[in-house]
Amino acid sequence: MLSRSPYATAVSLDDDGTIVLHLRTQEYYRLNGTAQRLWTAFDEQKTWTVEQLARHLYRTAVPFKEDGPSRADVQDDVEAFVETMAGNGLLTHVS
Amino acid sequence: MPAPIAYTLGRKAPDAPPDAFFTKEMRSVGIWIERSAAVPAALVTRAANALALHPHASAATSSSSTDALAVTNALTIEVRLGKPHTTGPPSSWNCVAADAQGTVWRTPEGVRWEGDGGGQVQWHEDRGTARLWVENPRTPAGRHAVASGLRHALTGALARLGWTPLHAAALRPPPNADSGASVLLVGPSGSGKSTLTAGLLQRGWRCVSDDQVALAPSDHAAPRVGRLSPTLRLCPDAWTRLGFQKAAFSSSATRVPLADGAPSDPAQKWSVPLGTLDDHAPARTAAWAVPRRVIRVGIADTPTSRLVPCRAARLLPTLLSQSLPPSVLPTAVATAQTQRLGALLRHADGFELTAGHDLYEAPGRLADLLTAARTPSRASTA
Repeated sequence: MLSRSPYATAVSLDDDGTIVLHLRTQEYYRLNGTAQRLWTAFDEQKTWTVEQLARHLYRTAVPFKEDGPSRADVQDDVEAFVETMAGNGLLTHVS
Repeated sequence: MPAPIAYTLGRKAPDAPPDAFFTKEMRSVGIWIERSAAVPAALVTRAANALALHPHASAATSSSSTDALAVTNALTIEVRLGKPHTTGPPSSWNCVAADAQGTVWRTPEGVRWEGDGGGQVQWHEDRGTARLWVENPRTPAGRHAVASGLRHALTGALARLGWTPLHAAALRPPPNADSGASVLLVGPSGSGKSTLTAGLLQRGWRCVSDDQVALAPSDHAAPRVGRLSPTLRLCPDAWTRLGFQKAAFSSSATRVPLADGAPSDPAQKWSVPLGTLDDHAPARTAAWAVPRRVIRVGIADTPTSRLVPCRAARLLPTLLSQSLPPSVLPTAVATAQTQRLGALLRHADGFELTAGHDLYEAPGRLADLLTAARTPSRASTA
């Protein structure tokens, strides 16, 4: 299971998207549309598995699109997001 | 046991002008001094005034800072003789920030600041207390350690009480000016904020501060910024080049030492108290502003200056770099500070100024660039 790090804070900049700052390392990351959707998923539910996130993203971001990404593509996107965010301490693994 | 002395500092001064920033909102910061430290009251007052804070209660006595200050104050700074207690070896400390004034460590006891003058500030977040330790405040170096330590502790206290100290200049436009909205000039030391401020002053703008401001606590509305440095500091040649003469100000317009025993200012700048600017009509200062333009300032070796729009995502790292580092603050305080900077950018238009030779010669020309860059959606908002 994954949750947001208590040291991560996100700043919404309207048209300029969202920036996530790690309060201890002081490194910041600009989120693209997909990453923003995944990050805000943690507003609705505190903990997620990678599979749950992939299902959530597929359900909310690619509804009824014939030429949209496949489930496998979405799963790859979520895994890349989790690897980046967890690797930089913005998401933490919880039991 | 000798009785300590308590000073309470804040902006609720009875003689504060009606438009003073924070007059109604400011919670106090108590400063408690171990009597044996023998720190003169004038030194405490000067350190507080350096952040545009004013004393509003006279000395009190009590056997402890808790008795003296807990009822009336949200946060206490204690000045003590000696060195802070340490449980872990220095090798286990984690350096989290450093600047020209000192180094910040995360120790087993919490966040600790070691000033280059020898003072040390240890934050005790659970008690709402910062302890400033000095070894010998009777020497010039010791007095400098007290002054710089108090300044550091007071800045941290303001952040913990909900304000966001920011290294920036803020100005209001002249009434009915085409150049529209209040501006915030952000950039590192030496980027020209004070020179541009003086230039805009010549064009009728009103100065909130040329170097240090504080954002008021407000997560959603456009934040107000108020003054944290009460002087305008420029090199003598800059004053002359801009056409200001010392005689144009009151007799207090002289170089003001930062503190007794402080290292001499390498730039030998003249500090002019902003209050003296208002000796001349019309008023050249303002207590606060709501910036609708945030301008990142930089100097370039180019003949012509440029003022171009800049995305908020590029400005946020600049604002973060000129505020207190999040890693030295409690998580909740750092989060609130970051959100407040985001709110500032959401309510303002972002610009990047590349200041060239023309602005060096005539910094007031920034007013023309601001007029040319007028944004219809937010024009005429003070």
